[in-house]
Amino acid sequence: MKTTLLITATAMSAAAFAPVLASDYPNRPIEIIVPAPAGGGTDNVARMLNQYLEQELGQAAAVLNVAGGGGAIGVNQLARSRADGYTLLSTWNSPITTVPHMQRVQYSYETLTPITSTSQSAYTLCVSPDFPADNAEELLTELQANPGRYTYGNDGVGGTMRLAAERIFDAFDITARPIPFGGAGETLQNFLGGHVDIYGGSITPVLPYVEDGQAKCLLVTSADDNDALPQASGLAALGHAELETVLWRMMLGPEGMDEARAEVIADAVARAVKHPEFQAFLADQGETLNLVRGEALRERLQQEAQAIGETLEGLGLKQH
Amino acid sequence: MSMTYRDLFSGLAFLIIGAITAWMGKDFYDDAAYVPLGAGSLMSLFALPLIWRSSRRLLVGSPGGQAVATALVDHPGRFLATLGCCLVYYVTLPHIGFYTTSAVFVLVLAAVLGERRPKVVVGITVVFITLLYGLFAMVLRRPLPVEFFLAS
Amino acid sequence: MFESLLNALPVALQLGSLVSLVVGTLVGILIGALPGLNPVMAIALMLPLTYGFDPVIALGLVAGIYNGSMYGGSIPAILLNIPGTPAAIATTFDGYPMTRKGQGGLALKTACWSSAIGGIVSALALMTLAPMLAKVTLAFGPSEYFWVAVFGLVSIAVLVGKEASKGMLSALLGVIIGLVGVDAISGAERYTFGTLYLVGGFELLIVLIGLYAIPPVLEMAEKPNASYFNADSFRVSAGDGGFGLIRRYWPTWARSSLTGVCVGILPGAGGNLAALLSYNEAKRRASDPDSFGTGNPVGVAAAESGNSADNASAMIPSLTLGIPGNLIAALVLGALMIHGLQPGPQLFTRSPDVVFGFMWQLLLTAMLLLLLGGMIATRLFAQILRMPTALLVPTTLVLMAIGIYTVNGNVVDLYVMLAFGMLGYLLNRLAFPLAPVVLGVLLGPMAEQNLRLSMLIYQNDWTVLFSRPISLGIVALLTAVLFSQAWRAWRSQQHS
Repeated sequence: MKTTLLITATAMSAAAFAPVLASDYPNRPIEIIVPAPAGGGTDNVARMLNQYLEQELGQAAAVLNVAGGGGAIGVNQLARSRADGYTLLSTWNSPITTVPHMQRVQYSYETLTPITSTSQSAYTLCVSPDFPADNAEELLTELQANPGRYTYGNDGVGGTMRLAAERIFDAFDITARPIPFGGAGETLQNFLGGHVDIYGGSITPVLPYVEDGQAKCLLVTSADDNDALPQASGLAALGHAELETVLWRMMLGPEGMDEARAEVIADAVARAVKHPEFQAFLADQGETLNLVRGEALRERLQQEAQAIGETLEGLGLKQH
Repeated sequence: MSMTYRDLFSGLAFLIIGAITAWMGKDFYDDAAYVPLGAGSLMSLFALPLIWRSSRRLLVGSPGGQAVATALVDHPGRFLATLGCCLVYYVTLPHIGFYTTSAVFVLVLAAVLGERRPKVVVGITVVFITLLYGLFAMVLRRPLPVEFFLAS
Repeated sequence: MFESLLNALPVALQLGSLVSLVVGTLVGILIGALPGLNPVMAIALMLPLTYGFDPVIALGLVAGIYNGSMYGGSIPAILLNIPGTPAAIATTFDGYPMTRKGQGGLALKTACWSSAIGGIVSALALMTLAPMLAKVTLAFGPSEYFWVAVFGLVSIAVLVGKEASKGMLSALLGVIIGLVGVDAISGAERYTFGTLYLVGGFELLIVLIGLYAIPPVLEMAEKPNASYFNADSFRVSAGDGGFGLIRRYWPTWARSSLTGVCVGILPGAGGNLAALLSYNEAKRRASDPDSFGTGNPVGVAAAESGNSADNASAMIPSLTLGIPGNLIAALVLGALMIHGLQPGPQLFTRSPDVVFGFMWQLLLTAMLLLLLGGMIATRLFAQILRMPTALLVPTTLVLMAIGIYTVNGNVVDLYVMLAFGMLGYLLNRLAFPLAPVVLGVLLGPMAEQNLRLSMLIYQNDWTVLFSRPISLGIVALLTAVLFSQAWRAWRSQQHS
């Protein structure tokens, strides 16, 4: 009897305590790991979102840039940190779905706590104005006709950009030579200097050069066309919508993070993205909102990780 | 120990490091092996003149250009005490919290290194920790390991 | 263009901008002067505070921290032999010996004036030559970058120390340290020995603080407890006023500033290389090269004007092309984007007030250094250094710990820093120069990646390394440096 009473009492106090904990969260500053260097695309979006997230949470949220290893270093660090909801991850998809196939890592989409995805954008392939092609079909024909002749800059071996390009090239029986640069900035520099033939990377950095005619962007790696790049076709227009490989961003927590706390963050993000300034910012970057949360997010990660694993195996790049 | 002996030993050490680097590097995939192989071999190569010159000096029996250089460690006791304090500091930092551990570290190491005026030690520690708190908590707002009495 | 430049001056001179410049410069000097804390972190942490204001405020803060930290780094380099930022390594060579000789005040003053001059020249280059210099940036492809890295590494390894072979060994050690981790091109792990920590490789800042900051602290700890300084070391004699300095150092300043501007326009190289190359050039040209390293103020002047001249010119590729030259430039671009300004060539025509205002701000902070720098360095830091060494040692160690911890938030970094400290201590005692090690960690990966990229682009055709005009120019320069050094060594052997 006594024991039952004790258990009931404990259960009751725990039950009384748990919602208090959730409503009390967060009561001190949160640290958000961004697995990319300060000033990059992922970092900019994370910082912009962070501003409004802080307002919604009523707590400071500090961005900590932990770059390296294609993003794996930062995610490893999150996986090792305490799952109290005060250390979160703001990342793009490649460290979660691509890098684990190529490197040893301490995490997987199965263990990390999915919170919510935020936005997504496509990659683009651009050529210089004198390149003998003016639309996606001509570009692919030109590449088909000259196997191994053209070089395309991309974001490196573990990067999603190269994967997106290789999937398309594979389907169209194209051989182009990938040149792995450190990021879109470096790729752009080498493309503008004429050191590589094709720019492969995110849309934002190359946009100003499209406007003043120094670059022709002919292909985007999403199924749909992109409003910011009228000359470029999406994959659906080429009859291969299934090859879509996009860049998308999300927030994750360490393994075993309290679900109620994950909900608190997901709700705050959902409110934060409604700010018109944030939406205008995303539109400038050519990104679109995309909110998937909880287990549905895990599902999305799993599907993408499997598809990418198969592609990598086909390319002979898979190592783990 | 004279500089000649030190040159001989460091030359040998670099020879070995270079050889190991090159030997491990030769198995790397394709072009990932170029630079490891090159840097390792070059290191072994540059170690040779050092070894040759110092061993020649030793064999000829001349004391060498430089006489006895400074000792390898001036005061082993203080050296090791400082290192030991640092290690304890780093180990406890994430568990006990940044400001607490740092304050204790300054107090203890100052005493170990021979500062015997409690007022000076405590005064400087308090001012120092307060300034750090001001900089990191107020200006930069950067989270540091949480104090044990605040953790949830 | 000059019209827009003039129109932007009032923007930079408005009250908000001036306040942010002064605050930024003060914070920058402080952050630079505290070993371990770095300007990138400070800017990354402080920028979000300015999102609510006009972009001019944010950029003023960046300009202040950027230029202030470049000078701030020289303060501990001169007083304690600990470079506050990677770019201040070359400042320790002569700055610290000057302090030992009781000329610490003069060294600080020289550093302050040299930083200001370097910063001013660089800002003027940014204002007048930016579009032209941006074309130079684009002309540099992987094979040119490879030669830049090799030139920096070899010329410094050979010139910095007393023995060329020891310098080369140090540089190669740095290159090998830089190889550890995942290879950026193939994605394969190298020298990780199965540990996950090593997969990420060694961070430059951790290697630098370990190698350079721990040994002087340990040496201080080994000596009996005493006051580190007396006030006399800070007295500056009457002949060392601003005009005296200008008369003495203008040729050095001119050469070093030019070097700094040139290094700055190449993304990735940085103030560290600019300072070391300037120092070498000053030493090579001096009539008394042997006095360098024993407290020659010309060495301090060359190093500090070189690294500060790198600053504004590193903004050229980011402002004109939208390609960030270093992490701070990347943060500036990020701040512009958050304020809705799209980086790229149109930035100049679409928001001239912001861009040209930022250029004015860079110029103004460089001038502010003269006002704020001398005041803070000599008054405040001289007071701090009167602390007994038994307290100076632990407080410096705490600062380094907090600085390294804030880089990645990882405690393992602290142990790695300590291990590099032991290595630095040992190398010191074995008479190996440390600067080439740090430079090897910085330039080794740059050389390797660009070599392999150019081999990938040109399908393993080695001749591309020797067939492009800029590459050939750099090779010729390197050969000239090596020959003049060999000639000197041969001559001095003939004399003795």
